Amino acid sequence: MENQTFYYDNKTVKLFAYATLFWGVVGMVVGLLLSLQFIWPQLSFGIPYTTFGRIRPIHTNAVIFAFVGNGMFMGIYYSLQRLCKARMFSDILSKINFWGWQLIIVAAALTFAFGFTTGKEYAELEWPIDLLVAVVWIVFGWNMIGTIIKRRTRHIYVAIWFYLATFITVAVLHVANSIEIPITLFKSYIVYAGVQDALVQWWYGHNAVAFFLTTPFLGLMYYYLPKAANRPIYSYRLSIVHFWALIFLYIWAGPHHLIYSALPNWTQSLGVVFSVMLIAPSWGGMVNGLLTLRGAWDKVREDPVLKFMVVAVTAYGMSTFEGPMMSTKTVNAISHFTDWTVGHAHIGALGWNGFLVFAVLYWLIPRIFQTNLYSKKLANTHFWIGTLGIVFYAVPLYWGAITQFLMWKEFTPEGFLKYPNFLETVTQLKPMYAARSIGGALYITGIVLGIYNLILTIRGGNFLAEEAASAPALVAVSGKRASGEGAHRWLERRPIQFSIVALIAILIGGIIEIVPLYLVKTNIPSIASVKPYTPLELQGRDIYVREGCYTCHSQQVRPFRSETERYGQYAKAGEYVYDHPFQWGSKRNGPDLSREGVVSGKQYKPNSWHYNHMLNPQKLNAQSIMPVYKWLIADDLDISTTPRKICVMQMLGVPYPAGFDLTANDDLMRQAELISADLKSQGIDCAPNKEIIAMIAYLQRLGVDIHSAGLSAASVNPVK
Amino acid sequence: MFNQVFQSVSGINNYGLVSTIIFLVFFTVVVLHAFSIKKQDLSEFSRLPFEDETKDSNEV
Repeated sequence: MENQTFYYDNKTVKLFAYATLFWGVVGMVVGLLLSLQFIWPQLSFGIPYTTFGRIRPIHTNAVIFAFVGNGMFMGIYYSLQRLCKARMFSDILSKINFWGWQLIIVAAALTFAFGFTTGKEYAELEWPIDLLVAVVWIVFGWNMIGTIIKRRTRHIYVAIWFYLATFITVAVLHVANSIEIPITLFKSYIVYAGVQDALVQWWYGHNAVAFFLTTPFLGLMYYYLPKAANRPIYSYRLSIVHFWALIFLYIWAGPHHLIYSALPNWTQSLGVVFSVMLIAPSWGGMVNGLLTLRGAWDKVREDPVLKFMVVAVTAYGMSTFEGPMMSTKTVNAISHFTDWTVGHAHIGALGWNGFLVFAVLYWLIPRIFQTNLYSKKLANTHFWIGTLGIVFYAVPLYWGAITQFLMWKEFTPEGFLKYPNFLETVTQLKPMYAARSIGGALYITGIVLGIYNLILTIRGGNFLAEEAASAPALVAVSGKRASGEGAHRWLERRPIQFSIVALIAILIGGIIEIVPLYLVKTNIPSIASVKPYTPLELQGRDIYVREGCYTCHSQQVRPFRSETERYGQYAKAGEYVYDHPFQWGSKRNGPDLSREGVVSGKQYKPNSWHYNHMLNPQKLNAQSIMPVYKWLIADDLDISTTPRKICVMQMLGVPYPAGFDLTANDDLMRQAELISADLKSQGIDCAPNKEIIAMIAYLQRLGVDIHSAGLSAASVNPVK
Repeated sequence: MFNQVFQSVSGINNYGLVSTIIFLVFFTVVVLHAFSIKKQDLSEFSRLPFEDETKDSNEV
């Protein structure tokens, strides 16, 4: 067969490389600012756009979807063309993919800063941007599958399997977790409520880790590690088992984020079992990566690319052992809500994703610029500073987590909580938070060195935008299985059929977990005393979501004596049935708030306390790390949206009376005037139309319904 | 229809066991397939990243 000449598109690869570097710095600098706010809360500068709750999603989304996302596209666009011996399917689709993704990132950063958020972790984007994500993702998939179809190699290499699984699963996750009904251009309500929303959200959240941060990077590992080590992957056989076992198992593990929550126990157990089983395929991948270096470890001493790869793969192994351990009930009882989770997440993000991105950059940039890396020494310095940064980041957080859970759970000999004031447990952690910031700063310093090194490499090189290559065209063969051809061999040359089988593999777990939760009524027992929020409380709840309060405060009391003593009754599934979205949170930088409004409860504070606390938390307690929210006191509440919000809630099954939307604002003002009058009696002059009034109304509602159900704390049966 | 089916499901706690069995069957099939591939084919597949025309590694 005659050779065909074609050209690889390196321009798109270069653009994604530049984008990953730029967004990496932005995302991590925001992360550093967040970490410093734990020590100096004044660094929120008293303005809404830089408060913790608003910039935390900017940090997480920028690192995950901008830094890692662009790095992923960079690696895929380069390797896919070469593995398929074909140029990308369409230059126009490549351009839409690149510029569309950057538009999404900019839109995300701006909308989060302005408080437009769905309030669901790692899925905070509001509905118009969700639609844009769906379009750009389809463009990426179209471009990728088109390239695979016009390939000049018969067999589809294992790296591409991981890319395909990434495309399919992220599409499913994004669509399922973003079914929202719009209220305004930048406000919507998710269709799921409470426990069901929590399950769908963490099915998404966990698998965003699995299929955005893991599978595409495993694909990159299977291409770039053999290239850098100049030897084939240790075991192609193992890679086959690794791929199928991993994608099948990962999808089941989401409920491990909700252990000891109000989620039905059978779902939690499924999450635990499959999380533990995940160790096997995860370590299969890690072992396959590290053993590829057999006989080449001498190169690791010299080659910074291999150094980055070894630490990346090792960090993957560490995270994928630690994750399943944290999923077991015994460990989760102490690790959940603490900084352990943050440390674990950063081992993965900084070690696995960050280091693999830089390994690929150091390998790829010199090649597309037809030169050598400017300085190996500088790259090695980056490696060591980055590695130290990871250690300095994670170790203080592990130490802090141990301190946290010990303090949260300690009782005096008389049977009282030893540290009943949550703030004591926060103050104790400040040195660890400071050390964490040093670790983060070191990591960023390494990146700056890396960027400097890459800029000088680029300056010394000559960019090869269109890289010539040649290969014979693929001879067309029957789509049917040839004689003697195994089913999987056939599948490995049929990308569409392969994708369908992968889709079935990932859907099994999600369907078995999520569908029964919706259909079996006994999973969510209703509680008669639980009523819909009043219009003012609903508006207050939306402000709570807008300010990202869930990033520091949970609304989920677990069935432990240490928690019921501190907060009150443990969480019941039936109390969240009108929560669109759920606001359980995943980290306690402040106390749980789900029993905040119970007048006889341990957490109760009067309206005036909430007013003063929002105005200046440090005035109430100098050690507090809560940001000020003085704009809630200055800004008027927008009540024009109330009727629409009530209508949408009715559509979602919330039992407001018919026609209530027309009188909702009258109801709202009546309640607001009562709170305003109460504040006035405490010497605080606050008009009823201010946002703070709605926020106070919402906070004072928390836990009230479940308390009035007559289920006293003494009637519960905590685990320990 | 599905609603009625799932409401009548008893012993939903067995889901863990059933799910594990589903995985073990799936896993067994994949392992059997992996071990049925000829060594020569595996070697050929694993060398696919080296068939492109970019320079060899470790030149940085």
